Amino acid sequence: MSFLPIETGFEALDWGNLLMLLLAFGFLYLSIAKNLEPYVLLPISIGIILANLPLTGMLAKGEGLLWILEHYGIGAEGGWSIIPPMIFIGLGAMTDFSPILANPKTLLLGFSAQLGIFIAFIGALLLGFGTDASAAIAIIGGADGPTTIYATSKLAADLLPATTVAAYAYMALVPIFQPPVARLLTTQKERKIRMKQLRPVSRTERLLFPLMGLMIVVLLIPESATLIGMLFFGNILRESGVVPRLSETAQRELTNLVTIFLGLVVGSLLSAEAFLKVETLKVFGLGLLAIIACTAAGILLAKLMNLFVKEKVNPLIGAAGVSAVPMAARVAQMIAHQEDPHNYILMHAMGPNIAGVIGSAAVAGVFLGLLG
Amino acid sequence: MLPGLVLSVIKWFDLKVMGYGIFFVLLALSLLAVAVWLMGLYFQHYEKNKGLKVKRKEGLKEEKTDDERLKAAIVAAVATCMAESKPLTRPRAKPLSKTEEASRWETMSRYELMEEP
Repeated sequence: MSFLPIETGFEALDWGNLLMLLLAFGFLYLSIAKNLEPYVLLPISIGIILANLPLTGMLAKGEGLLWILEHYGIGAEGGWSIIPPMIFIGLGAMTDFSPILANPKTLLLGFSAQLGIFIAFIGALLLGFGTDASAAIAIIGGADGPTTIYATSKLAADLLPATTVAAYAYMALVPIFQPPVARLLTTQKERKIRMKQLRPVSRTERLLFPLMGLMIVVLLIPESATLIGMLFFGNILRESGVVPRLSETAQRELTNLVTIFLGLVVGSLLSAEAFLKVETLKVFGLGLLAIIACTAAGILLAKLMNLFVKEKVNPLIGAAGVSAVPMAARVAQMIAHQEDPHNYILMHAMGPNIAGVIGSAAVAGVFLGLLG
Repeated sequence: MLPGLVLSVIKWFDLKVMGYGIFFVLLALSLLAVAVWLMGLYFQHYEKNKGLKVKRKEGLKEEKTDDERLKAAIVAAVATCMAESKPLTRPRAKPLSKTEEASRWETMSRYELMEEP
Protein backbone atom coordinates (compact mmCIF):
# COMPACT_ATOMS: atom_id res chain seq x y z
CA MET A 1 0.00 0.00 0.00
CA SER A 2 2.85 2.31 -0.76
CA PHE A 3 0.56 4.65 -2.71
CA LEU A 4 -0.93 5.88 0.61
CA PRO A 5 0.67 8.92 2.28
CA ILE A 6 1.01 7.11 5.66
CA GLU A 7 2.04 3.63 6.64
CA THR A 8 -1.06 1.65 7.67
CA GLY A 9 -1.30 -0.98 10.35
CA PHE A 10 -2.66 -3.62 7.98
CA GLU A 11 0.70 -4.34 6.44
CA ALA A 12 2.42 -4.44 9.85
CA LEU A 13 -0.01 -6.97 11.37
CA ASP A 14 1.60 -10.33 12.06
CA TRP A 15 0.23 -13.70 13.19
CA GLY A 16 1.04 -12.98 16.82
CA ASN A 17 -1.03 -9.80 16.77
CA LEU A 18 -3.90 -11.59 15.05
CA LEU A 19 -3.85 -14.34 17.66
CA MET A 20 -3.96 -11.83 20.49
CA LEU A 21 -6.76 -9.89 18.78
CA LEU A 22 -8.70 -13.13 18.52
CA LEU A 23 -8.19 -13.65 22.25
CA ALA A 24 -9.43 -10.10 22.89
CA PHE A 25 -12.61 -10.70 20.86
CA GLY A 26 -13.11 -13.93 22.79
CA PHE A 27 -12.89 -11.99 26.09
CA LEU A 28 -15.26 -9.35 24.71
CA TYR A 29 -17.77 -12.03 23.79
CA LEU A 30 -17.51 -13.67 27.23
CA SER A 31 -17.92 -10.37 29.06
CA ILE A 32 -20.80 -8.95 26.99
CA ALA A 33 -22.73 -12.00 25.80
CA LYS A 34 -22.05 -14.34 28.75
CA ASN A 35 -21.68 -11.66 31.45
CA LEU A 36 -18.52 -13.42 32.72
CA GLU A 37 -16.50 -11.04 34.92
CA PRO A 38 -17.37 -8.05 32.69
CA TYR A 39 -15.72 -5.49 34.98
CA VAL A 40 -12.37 -7.20 34.48
CA LEU A 41 -12.61 -8.76 31.04
CA LEU A 42 -14.08 -5.80 29.14
CA PRO A 43 -11.28 -3.29 29.89
CA ILE A 44 -8.68 -6.07 29.49
CA SER A 45 -9.96 -6.97 26.03
CA ILE A 46 -9.83 -3.33 24.89
CA GLY A 47 -6.30 -3.08 26.32
CA ILE A 48 -5.29 -6.17 24.31
CA ILE A 49 -6.75 -4.69 21.13
CA LEU A 50 -4.94 -1.36 21.63
CA ALA A 51 -1.64 -3.08 22.43
CA ASN A 52 -1.81 -5.35 19.39
CA LEU A 53 -2.80 -2.87 16.72
CA PRO A 54 0.54 -2.07 15.11
CA LEU A 55 2.16 1.34 14.64
CA THR A 56 -0.08 3.08 17.19
CA GLY A 57 2.82 4.11 19.40
CA MET A 58 0.64 3.36 22.45
CA LEU A 59 3.46 1.31 23.97
CA ALA A 60 6.28 3.63 22.89
CA LYS A 61 8.72 4.11 25.74
CA GLY A 62 8.23 7.44 27.53
CA GLU A 63 5.49 8.60 25.15
CA GLY A 64 2.74 6.07 24.60
CA LEU A 65 -0.33 6.25 26.83
CA LEU A 66 -0.30 2.54 27.63
CA TRP A 67 3.44 2.63 28.40
CA ILE A 68 2.85 5.52 30.82
CA LEU A 69 -0.03 3.67 32.49
CA GLU A 70 2.10 0.52 32.78
CA HIS A 71 5.14 2.38 34.03
CA TYR A 72 3.42 4.44 36.69
CA GLY A 73 0.45 2.20 37.34
CA ILE A 74 1.96 -1.22 37.87
CA GLY A 75 5.68 -0.56 37.97
CA ALA A 76 6.67 -1.95 34.59
CA GLU A 77 10.32 -1.29 33.68
CA GLY A 78 11.18 -0.17 37.18
CA GLY A 79 8.48 2.48 37.45
CA TRP A 80 5.96 3.21 40.17
CA SER A 81 3.36 0.71 41.27
CA ILE A 82 0.52 2.97 42.31
CA ILE A 83 -2.51 0.94 41.20
CA PRO A 84 -2.20 -2.03 43.64
CA PRO A 85 -2.15 0.15 46.80
CA MET A 86 -5.10 2.17 45.42
CA ILE A 87 -7.06 -1.04 44.96
CA PHE A 88 -6.20 -2.05 48.51
CA ILE A 89 -7.68 1.23 49.83
CA GLY A 90 -10.92 0.45 48.00
CA LEU A 91 -10.82 -3.18 49.16
CA GLY A 92 -10.32 -2.07 52.77
CA ALA A 93 -13.20 0.38 52.51
CA MET A 94 -15.47 -2.35 51.14
CA THR A 95 -14.47 -5.04 53.63
CA ASP A 96 -16.32 -5.85 56.81
CA PHE A 97 -13.91 -7.66 59.14
CA SER A 98 -16.71 -8.87 61.45
CA PRO A 99 -16.41 -12.56 60.43
CA ILE A 100 -12.76 -12.57 61.55
CA LEU A 101 -13.58 -10.73 64.76
CA ALA A 102 -16.40 -13.11 65.61
CA ASN A 103 -14.31 -16.20 64.85
CA PRO A 104 -10.53 -15.50 65.04
CA LYS A 105 -9.74 -19.14 64.21
CA THR A 106 -10.47 -18.31 60.60
CA LEU A 107 -7.32 -16.19 60.47
CA LEU A 108 -5.34 -19.44 60.69
CA LEU A 109 -7.31 -20.91 57.78
CA GLY A 110 -6.23 -17.85 55.83
CA PHE A 111 -2.64 -18.84 56.55
CA SER A 112 -3.07 -22.42 55.39
CA ALA A 113 -4.07 -21.25 51.95
CA GLN A 114 -0.73 -19.47 51.68
CA LEU A 115 1.06 -22.83 51.89
CA GLY A 116 0.22 -23.35 48.22
CA ILE A 117 2.33 -20.30 47.45
CA PHE A 118 5.38 -22.06 48.86
CA ILE A 119 4.62 -25.25 46.91
CA ALA A 120 4.50 -23.18 43.70
CA PHE A 121 7.76 -21.51 44.78
CA ILE A 122 9.52 -24.90 44.81
CA GLY A 123 7.85 -25.80 41.49
CA ALA A 124 9.18 -22.61 39.88
CA LEU A 125 12.70 -23.30 41.19
CA LEU A 126 12.53 -26.82 39.74
CA LEU A 127 11.49 -25.40 36.36
CA GLY A 128 14.61 -23.27 36.35
CA PHE A 129 13.33 -19.86 37.36
CA GLY A 130 15.54 -17.76 39.61
CA THR A 131 14.63 -17.15 43.27
CA ASP A 132 13.10 -13.71 42.62
CA ALA A 133 11.07 -14.90 39.65
CA SER A 134 9.92 -17.99 41.59
CA ALA A 135 8.69 -15.81 44.43
CA ALA A 136 6.77 -13.58 42.00
CA ILE A 137 5.19 -16.58 40.27
CA ALA A 138 4.29 -18.24 43.56
CA ILE A 139 2.23 -15.23 44.69
CA ILE A 140 -0.28 -16.10 41.92
CA GLY A 141 -1.44 -18.90 44.24
CA GLY A 142 -2.98 -16.32 46.52
CA ALA A 143 -5.34 -15.44 43.61
CA ASP A 144 -4.79 -11.82 44.52
CA GLY A 145 -4.21 -9.69 41.43
CA PRO A 146 -2.94 -6.46 43.04
CA THR A 147 -0.52 -8.34 45.32
CA THR A 148 0.81 -10.34 42.38
CA ILE A 149 1.35 -7.15 40.35
CA TYR A 150 3.04 -5.39 43.24
CA ALA A 151 5.38 -8.28 44.10
CA THR A 152 6.24 -9.03 40.47
CA SER A 153 7.00 -5.39 39.67
CA LYS A 154 9.52 -5.36 42.50
CA LEU A 155 10.97 -8.84 42.08
CA ALA A 156 10.81 -9.82 38.39
CA ALA A 157 9.37 -6.99 36.28
CA ASP A 158 9.95 -8.89 33.03
CA LEU A 159 7.41 -11.49 34.14
CA LEU A 160 4.66 -8.91 34.73
CA PRO A 161 2.60 -9.78 31.63
CA ALA A 162 2.53 -13.48 32.43
CA THR A 163 1.98 -13.29 36.21
CA THR A 164 -0.61 -10.51 36.03
CA VAL A 165 -2.71 -12.22 33.40
CA ALA A 166 -2.37 -15.59 35.14
CA ALA A 167 -3.46 -14.09 38.49
CA TYR A 168 -6.51 -12.38 36.99
CA ALA A 169 -7.39 -15.39 34.86
CA TYR A 170 -7.30 -17.70 37.88
CA MET A 171 -9.27 -15.23 40.00
CA ALA A 172 -12.01 -15.35 37.37
CA LEU A 173 -11.76 -19.13 37.13
CA VAL A 174 -11.95 -19.86 40.88
CA PRO A 175 -15.56 -21.17 40.47
CA ILE A 176 -14.27 -23.70 37.95
CA PHE A 177 -11.09 -24.88 39.72
CA GLN A 178 -12.20 -24.98 43.33
CA PRO A 179 -15.34 -27.18 43.40
CA PRO A 180 -13.66 -30.37 42.09
CA VAL A 181 -10.77 -29.99 44.57
CA ALA A 182 -13.17 -29.27 47.43
CA ARG A 183 -15.37 -32.25 46.58
CA LEU A 184 -12.36 -34.53 46.24
CA LEU A 185 -11.00 -33.66 49.68
CA THR A 186 -14.24 -33.60 51.69
CA THR A 187 -16.97 -36.11 52.43
CA GLN A 188 -20.64 -35.32 51.94
CA LYS A 189 -21.09 -35.36 55.71
CA GLU A 190 -18.33 -32.76 56.12
CA ARG A 191 -19.82 -30.53 53.44
CA LYS A 192 -23.14 -30.64 55.30
CA ILE A 193 -21.69 -29.37 58.59
CA ARG A 194 -23.71 -26.41 59.80
CA MET A 195 -21.89 -23.72 61.68
CA LYS A 196 -23.19 -21.70 64.60
CA GLN A 197 -24.31 -18.19 63.77
CA LEU A 198 -21.56 -15.63 64.33
CA ARG A 199 -21.87 -13.30 67.30
CA PRO A 200 -22.61 -9.65 66.63
CA VAL A 201 -19.46 -7.51 66.68
CA SER A 202 -19.43 -4.06 68.24
CA ARG A 203 -18.37 -0.97 66.32
CA THR A 204 -15.45 -0.40 68.72
CA GLU A 205 -14.06 -3.84 67.90
CA ARG A 206 -14.42 -3.18 64.19
CA LEU A 207 -12.61 0.11 64.61
CA LEU A 208 -9.82 -1.30 66.77
CA PHE A 209 -9.10 -4.26 64.48
CA PRO A 210 -7.55 -2.35 61.54
CA LEU A 211 -5.38 -0.36 63.94
CA MET A 212 -4.28 -3.50 65.69
CA GLY A 213 -3.71 -5.36 62.42
CA LEU A 214 -1.73 -2.47 61.01
CA MET A 215 0.55 -2.33 64.04
CA ILE A 216 1.11 -6.09 64.36
CA VAL A 217 1.61 -7.00 60.69
CA VAL A 218 3.58 -3.93 59.65
CA LEU A 219 5.85 -4.02 62.70
CA LEU A 220 6.56 -7.68 62.03
CA ILE A 221 6.85 -7.43 58.22
CA PRO A 222 7.68 -3.79 57.36
CA GLU A 223 7.83 -4.49 53.62
CA SER A 224 4.13 -5.33 53.65
CA ALA A 225 3.27 -1.77 54.70
CA THR A 226 2.38 -0.56 51.21
CA LEU A 227 -0.42 -3.08 50.77
CA ILE A 228 -1.41 -3.87 54.36
CA GLY A 229 -1.22 -0.18 55.32
CA MET A 230 -3.57 0.82 52.51
CA LEU A 231 -5.94 -2.07 53.22
CA PHE A 232 -6.36 -1.07 56.84
CA PHE A 233 -6.40 2.64 55.99
CA GLY A 234 -9.40 2.01 53.73
CA ASN A 235 -11.05 0.01 56.47
CA ILE A 236 -10.50 2.75 59.07
CA LEU A 237 -12.21 5.19 56.68
CA ARG A 238 -15.18 2.83 56.67
CA GLU A 239 -15.37 1.91 60.33
CA SER A 240 -14.64 5.34 61.81
CA GLY A 241 -18.03 6.50 60.57
CA VAL A 242 -16.88 10.12 60.62
CA VAL A 243 -15.78 10.39 56.97
CA PRO A 244 -18.63 8.79 55.04
CA ARG A 245 -17.82 10.73 51.86
CA LEU A 246 -14.21 9.48 51.83
CA SER A 247 -15.33 5.94 52.59
CA GLU A 248 -17.93 5.97 49.81
CA THR A 249 -15.43 7.51 47.39
CA ALA A 250 -12.89 4.80 48.19
CA GLN A 251 -15.54 2.09 47.76
CA ARG A 252 -16.97 3.40 44.50
CA GLU A 253 -15.24 6.15 42.54
CA LEU A 254 -11.66 5.31 43.46
CA THR A 255 -12.13 1.57 42.96
CA ASN A 256 -14.00 2.02 39.69
CA LEU A 257 -11.46 4.48 38.35
CA VAL A 258 -8.52 2.28 39.26
CA THR A 259 -10.29 -0.80 37.84
CA ILE A 260 -10.69 0.95 34.48
CA PHE A 261 -6.98 1.74 34.25
CA LEU A 262 -5.92 -1.61 35.69
CA GLY A 263 -7.97 -3.46 33.09
CA LEU A 264 -6.45 -1.41 30.29
CA VAL A 265 -2.95 -1.92 31.64
CA VAL A 266 -3.37 -5.68 32.11
CA GLY A 267 -4.68 -5.89 28.56
CA SER A 268 -1.83 -3.81 27.24
CA LEU A 269 0.65 -6.27 28.75
CA LEU A 270 -0.70 -8.87 26.37
CA SER A 271 1.15 -7.71 23.32
CA ALA A 272 2.15 -10.64 21.13
CA GLU A 273 5.90 -10.17 21.57
CA ALA A 274 5.69 -9.90 25.38
CA PHE A 275 3.16 -12.66 25.94
CA LEU A 276 3.63 -15.41 23.38
CA LYS A 277 6.60 -17.15 25.02
CA VAL A 278 7.27 -20.58 26.49
CA GLU A 279 7.87 -18.89 29.85
CA THR A 280 4.26 -17.70 29.88
CA LEU A 281 3.00 -21.27 29.61
CA LYS A 282 5.25 -22.29 32.51
CA VAL A 283 3.93 -19.40 34.60
CA PHE A 284 0.33 -20.39 33.81
CA GLY A 285 1.05 -24.00 34.75
CA LEU A 286 2.70 -23.03 38.02
CA GLY A 287 -0.12 -20.58 38.79
CA LEU A 288 -2.64 -23.37 38.34
CA LEU A 289 -0.60 -25.64 40.61
CA ALA A 290 -0.38 -22.86 43.20
CA ILE A 291 -4.09 -22.13 43.28
CA ILE A 292 -5.02 -25.82 43.53
CA ALA A 293 -2.45 -26.33 46.29
CA CYS A 294 -3.78 -23.27 48.16
CA THR A 295 -7.34 -24.62 47.98
CA ALA A 296 -6.26 -28.07 49.11
CA ALA A 297 -4.13 -26.74 51.99
CA GLY A 298 -7.04 -24.62 53.26
CA ILE A 299 -9.44 -27.56 53.25
CA LEU A 300 -6.96 -29.94 54.88
CA LEU A 301 -6.16 -27.47 57.69
CA ALA A 302 -9.88 -26.97 58.35
CA LYS A 303 -10.21 -30.77 58.65
CA LEU A 304 -7.21 -30.85 60.97
CA MET A 305 -8.74 -28.07 63.04
CA ASN A 306 -11.90 -30.17 63.43
CA LEU A 307 -9.89 -32.78 65.32
CA PHE A 308 -9.20 -30.27 68.10
CA VAL A 309 -12.14 -27.89 68.31
CA LYS A 310 -15.48 -28.47 70.00
CA GLU A 311 -17.58 -26.65 67.44
CA LYS A 312 -16.77 -28.20 64.08
CA VAL A 313 -16.03 -26.00 61.11
CA ASN A 314 -17.24 -26.83 57.62
CA PRO A 315 -13.99 -27.69 55.75
CA LEU A 316 -15.29 -25.86 52.69
CA ILE A 317 -14.54 -22.53 54.38
CA GLY A 318 -10.84 -23.50 54.26
CA ALA A 319 -11.02 -23.37 50.46
CA ALA A 320 -12.01 -19.70 50.76
CA GLY A 321 -8.55 -18.95 52.13
CA VAL A 322 -7.36 -17.99 48.67
CA SER A 323 -7.82 -14.26 48.55
CA ALA A 324 -10.16 -13.89 45.59
CA VAL A 325 -12.66 -11.77 47.54
CA PRO A 326 -15.54 -12.59 47.70
CA MET A 327 -15.51 -15.14 44.89
CA ALA A 328 -13.85 -17.93 46.90
CA ALA A 329 -16.32 -17.48 49.78
CA ARG A 330 -19.23 -17.59 47.33
CA VAL A 331 -17.90 -20.81 45.84
CA ALA A 332 -17.73 -22.38 49.32
CA GLN A 333 -21.32 -21.28 49.97
CA MET A 334 -22.43 -22.62 46.60
CA ILE A 335 -20.99 -26.10 47.27
CA ALA A 336 -22.46 -26.20 50.79
CA HIS A 337 -25.82 -25.06 49.43
CA GLN A 338 -25.83 -27.85 46.84
CA GLU A 339 -25.45 -30.44 49.61
CA ASP A 340 -27.89 -28.80 52.00
CA PRO A 341 -30.14 -25.98 50.75
CA HIS A 342 -30.53 -24.64 54.30
CA ASN A 343 -26.82 -24.43 55.09
CA TYR A 344 -25.44 -20.89 55.06
CA ILE A 345 -21.67 -20.67 55.46
CA LEU A 346 -21.03 -17.53 53.43
CA MET A 347 -20.23 -15.29 56.42
CA HIS A 348 -18.04 -18.01 57.95
CA ALA A 349 -16.19 -18.38 54.63
CA MET A 350 -15.61 -14.63 54.47
CA GLY A 351 -13.28 -14.96 57.49
CA PRO A 352 -10.61 -17.11 55.77
CA ASN A 353 -11.22 -15.19 52.56
CA ILE A 354 -10.28 -11.84 54.15
CA ALA A 355 -7.50 -13.49 56.14
CA GLY A 356 -6.20 -14.76 52.80
CA VAL A 357 -5.88 -11.18 51.56
CA ILE A 358 -3.89 -10.23 54.66
CA GLY A 359 -1.86 -13.45 54.37
CA SER A 360 -0.90 -13.06 50.71
CA ALA A 361 0.08 -9.41 51.24
CA ALA A 362 2.18 -10.55 54.21
CA VAL A 363 3.86 -13.29 52.12
CA ALA A 364 4.60 -10.71 49.42
CA GLY A 365 6.11 -8.49 52.14
CA VAL A 366 8.33 -11.34 53.38
CA PHE A 367 9.52 -12.08 49.83
CA LEU A 368 10.24 -8.40 49.23
CA GLY A 369 12.08 -8.15 52.55
CA LEU A 370 14.24 -11.17 51.77
CA LEU A 371 14.76 -10.74 48.05
CA GLY A 372 13.74 -7.25 47.00
CA MET B 1 28.71 -35.46 54.09
CA LEU B 2 25.19 -35.21 55.54
CA PRO B 3 25.43 -31.54 56.63
CA GLY B 4 26.80 -30.73 53.18
CA LEU B 5 23.87 -32.51 51.54
CA VAL B 6 21.38 -30.70 53.78
CA LEU B 7 23.03 -27.38 52.99
CA SER B 8 22.94 -28.03 49.27
CA VAL B 9 19.23 -28.98 49.45
CA ILE B 10 18.53 -25.79 51.39
CA LYS B 11 20.45 -23.79 48.82
CA TRP B 12 18.87 -25.55 45.85
CA PHE B 13 15.28 -25.10 47.04
CA ASP B 14 15.91 -21.80 48.77
CA LEU B 15 14.34 -23.34 51.82
CA LYS B 16 15.59 -20.40 53.86
CA VAL B 17 13.28 -18.07 51.95
CA MET B 18 10.41 -20.52 52.35
CA GLY B 19 11.10 -21.09 56.01
CA TYR B 20 11.24 -17.40 56.81
CA GLY B 21 8.14 -16.83 54.71
CA ILE B 22 6.09 -19.48 56.49
CA PHE B 23 7.40 -18.43 59.90
CA PHE B 24 6.66 -14.72 59.51
CA VAL B 25 3.22 -15.13 57.96
CA LEU B 26 2.18 -17.74 60.53
CA LEU B 27 3.50 -15.53 63.33
CA ALA B 28 1.73 -12.42 62.00
CA LEU B 29 -1.61 -14.16 61.57
CA SER B 30 -1.32 -16.02 64.88
CA LEU B 31 -0.52 -12.83 66.77
CA LEU B 32 -3.43 -11.14 65.06
CA ALA B 33 -5.72 -14.09 65.91
CA VAL B 34 -4.68 -14.01 69.57
CA ALA B 35 -5.13 -10.23 69.75
CA VAL B 36 -8.57 -10.50 68.13
CA TRP B 37 -9.56 -13.33 70.46
CA LEU B 38 -8.50 -11.36 73.56
CA MET B 39 -10.25 -8.25 72.30
CA GLY B 40 -13.35 -10.34 71.63
CA LEU B 41 -13.31 -11.75 75.18
CA TYR B 42 -12.97 -8.29 76.66
CA PHE B 43 -15.70 -6.75 74.55
CA GLN B 44 -18.13 -9.63 75.06
CA HIS B 45 -17.68 -9.25 78.81
CA TYR B 46 -17.96 -5.47 78.52
CA GLU B 47 -21.08 -5.61 76.37
CA LYS B 48 -22.72 -8.09 78.74
CA ASN B 49 -22.12 -5.84 81.74
CA LYS B 50 -23.08 -2.76 79.76
CA GLY B 51 -26.35 -4.45 78.87
CA LEU B 52 -27.07 -5.14 82.54
CA LYS B 53 -26.25 -1.57 83.51
CA VAL B 54 -28.57 -0.21 80.83
CA LYS B 55 -31.35 -2.51 82.00
CA ARG B 56 -30.86 -1.40 85.58
CA LYS B 57 -30.80 2.21 84.56
CA GLU B 58 -34.01 1.83 82.61
CA GLY B 59 -35.63 -0.13 85.42
CA LEU B 60 -36.27 -3.12 83.22
CA LYS B 61 -36.64 -6.64 84.50
CA GLU B 62 -33.30 -8.35 84.27
CA GLU B 63 -32.07 -11.85 84.56
CA LYS B 64 -30.84 -12.37 88.09
CA THR B 65 -27.91 -14.40 89.30
CA ASP B 66 -28.22 -16.86 92.20
CA ASP B 67 -26.73 -14.31 94.61
CA GLU B 68 -29.21 -11.67 93.51
CA ARG B 69 -32.13 -14.07 93.92
CA LEU B 70 -30.88 -14.97 97.39
CA LYS B 71 -30.53 -11.33 98.34
CA ALA B 72 -34.02 -10.55 97.04
CA ALA B 73 -35.46 -13.50 98.95
CA ILE B 74 -33.78 -12.40 102.19
CA VAL B 75 -34.92 -8.80 101.77
CA ALA B 76 -38.47 -9.95 100.98
CA ALA B 77 -38.51 -12.32 103.94
CA VAL B 78 -37.21 -9.65 106.30
CA ALA B 79 -39.72 -7.11 104.97
CA THR B 80 -42.60 -9.59 105.40
CA CYS B 81 -41.43 -10.48 108.83
CA MET B 82 -41.16 -6.85 109.89
CA ALA B 83 -44.58 -6.01 108.49
CA GLU B 84 -46.34 -8.95 110.09
CA SER B 85 -44.47 -9.30 113.32
CA LYS B 86 -45.70 -7.96 116.57
CA PRO B 87 -42.96 -7.34 119.10
CA LEU B 88 -44.79 -8.96 121.98
CA THR B 89 -45.88 -12.07 120.18
CA ARG B 90 -42.65 -12.62 118.28
CA PRO B 91 -41.33 -16.08 119.07
CA ARG B 92 -38.00 -16.33 120.62
CA ALA B 93 -35.28 -17.24 118.25
CA LYS B 94 -33.95 -20.69 118.73
CA PRO B 95 -30.22 -20.87 119.20
CA LEU B 96 -28.53 -21.94 116.01
CA SER B 97 -26.73 -25.21 115.62
CA LYS B 98 -23.08 -25.10 114.57
CA THR B 99 -23.83 -26.17 110.99
CA GLU B 100 -26.67 -23.66 110.67
CA GLU B 101 -24.44 -20.90 111.93
CA ALA B 102 -21.62 -21.86 109.54
CA SER B 103 -24.07 -21.88 106.66
CA ARG B 104 -25.40 -18.47 107.63
CA TRP B 105 -21.90 -17.02 107.85
CA GLU B 106 -21.16 -18.46 104.46
CA THR B 107 -24.25 -16.79 103.04
CA MET B 108 -23.32 -13.52 104.70
CA SER B 109 -19.80 -13.63 103.37
CA ARG B 110 -21.06 -14.30 99.85
CA TYR B 111 -23.44 -11.44 100.33
CA GLU B 112 -20.65 -9.11 101.40
CA LEU B 113 -18.44 -10.11 98.52
CA MET B 114 -21.11 -9.19 95.99
CA GLU B 115 -20.51 -6.09 93.97
CA GLU B 116 -22.85 -3.21 94.32
CA PRO B 117 -25.20 -3.01 91.40
